[in-house]
Amino acid sequence: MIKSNSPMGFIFKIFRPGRYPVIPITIICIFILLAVLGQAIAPYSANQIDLRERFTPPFFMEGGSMRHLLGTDAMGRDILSRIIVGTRVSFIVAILSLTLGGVVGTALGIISGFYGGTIDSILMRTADATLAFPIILLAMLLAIIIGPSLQNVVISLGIVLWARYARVVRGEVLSLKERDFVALARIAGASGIRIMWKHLFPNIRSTLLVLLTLQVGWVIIVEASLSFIGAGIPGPTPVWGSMIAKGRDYVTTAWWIPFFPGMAVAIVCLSFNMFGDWLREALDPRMRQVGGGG
Amino acid sequence: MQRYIVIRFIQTVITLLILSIVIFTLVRMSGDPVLLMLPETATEEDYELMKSQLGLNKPVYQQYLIFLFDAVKGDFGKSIRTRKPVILSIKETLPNSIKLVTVAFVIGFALSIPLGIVAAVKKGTVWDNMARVVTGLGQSIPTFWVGLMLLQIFVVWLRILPASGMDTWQHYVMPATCLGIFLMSGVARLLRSSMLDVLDSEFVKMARIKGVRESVVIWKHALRNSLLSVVSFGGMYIAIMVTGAILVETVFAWPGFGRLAYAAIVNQDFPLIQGVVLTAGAVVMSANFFTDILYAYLDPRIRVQV
Repeated sequence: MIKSNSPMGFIFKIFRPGRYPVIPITIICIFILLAVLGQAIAPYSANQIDLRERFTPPFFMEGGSMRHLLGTDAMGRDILSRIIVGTRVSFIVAILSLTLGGVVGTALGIISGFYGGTIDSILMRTADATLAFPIILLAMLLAIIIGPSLQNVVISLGIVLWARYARVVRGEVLSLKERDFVALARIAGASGIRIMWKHLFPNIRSTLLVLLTLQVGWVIIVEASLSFIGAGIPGPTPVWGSMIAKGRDYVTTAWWIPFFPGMAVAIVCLSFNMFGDWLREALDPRMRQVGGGG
Repeated sequence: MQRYIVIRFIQTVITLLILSIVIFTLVRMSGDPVLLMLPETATEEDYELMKSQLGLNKPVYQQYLIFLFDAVKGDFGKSIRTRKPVILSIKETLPNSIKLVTVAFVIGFALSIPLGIVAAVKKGTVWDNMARVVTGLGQSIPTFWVGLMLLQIFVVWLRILPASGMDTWQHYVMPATCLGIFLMSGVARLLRSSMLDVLDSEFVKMARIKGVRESVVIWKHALRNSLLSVVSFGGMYIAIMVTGAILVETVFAWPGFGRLAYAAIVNQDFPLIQGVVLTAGAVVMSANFFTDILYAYLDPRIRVQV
């Protein structure tokens, strides 16, 4: 029997035999592959300008060709290649900001729930204030003061994400710390830090994983939104959001320029959200069928 | 209740002060605030004048107080690009945004309330799944992209709606729908889960035992109580709407506050963005304050807790 507390047991728990959301998982895997390979499998260089090929429509339209499957933009750059290369940027932003927000938020959430009292009220008030403030404004300020950059996007996202994690984690810890195993650990003389790390943290891992998955989509959308208003990652890096933004100027003549990057955002987000929803039901014992799982 | 209002009011003021400190610090951190405030074509004299106007030769806490009092008075300086006082631009554009957001709220709730109810009442059926797909799509598709595609369909192909401006009701259709969809998914999902909780509660069972008609149980007993949790997230929805308004107004060239923010970024107009962020912060925080009061008014348990 695999101990459910070990990392192997955790993976086993997720991929228990059962029904998997095959399509979202496949799509996620494809995009991860695209993010890893990037330029290596793109048909053209993402920034290769070819003015003779400007505004080539996608292959299924009149005037389109198989050379540029999804058409080209105003500078004759291949849209498919730019989407492929842009995948990596979206995923990097997602990984960095979720790590930043996740680590800080989880730590503060555990502390807040475990110790309670003044620390708890200060942290939770701050979290509430953060959640009620539109981050887009913060990102805009940073973009103007320091200049738009990947770091700004990650910092802005991290600032919101920590609050989301802290809230959820605190809620979990509040109910966990009343349980017998925590009381026993205390009696056994375990320090606060040991209890938090060895006893509380392992018990919130599945919640964290669900939260993480459900937020990948959100992060990708916000990152695209920031790029769209010019507060995101600056060019010439191909970014989905700024590809859509550039397409705005040509929406009346070349709809495919904003269409395909937007589809990429939507497909990735939808897949992560569906996967996250499934994961929540698979991991949350309250939603599982009685007798199922272990 | 009075005590609650006072406490929440003080909290709101403190949050706003924190916001002002954050902005003040960010500006100072970035180096020379005078350079941020001045256009690139400014002369040496402009620089010195601005420096003394901002009181940069004074101690930091005094500088902060000057910044704070100016902000309270609504003096955010002049736009770098147009030389127009920032507060005037804000006064011109904010009402337009409020009009748009109000219509969007109506559309958003008109869509999400039936969706949430159907999903909860018919839990596990095709209807629930359909609602899930709709809200899932709403959460996954970028709003601004929806806006661009609506433009393409209704303006370019069908030619039945105007592309930009805000003179007639037709101008409201696309931007408000776009913003409304942005709001819909979150509200519908929240409503579904709180409806499920309420439908499972003792008083709903009691009502059913008493033989109250199902439609009355749903619309009167369950929905009213479920909407409470929607109200409790009111502040968050307003924050979401500010974000949405910036994106949607940019797409549809709506002469509002969000478009002003976008212009400020594009032109690297620091005084303008500072004014926009502070005003938006104040709007969001006061809206938060009022939704909390409303929530406490609707749900007596909250009042007692504090």
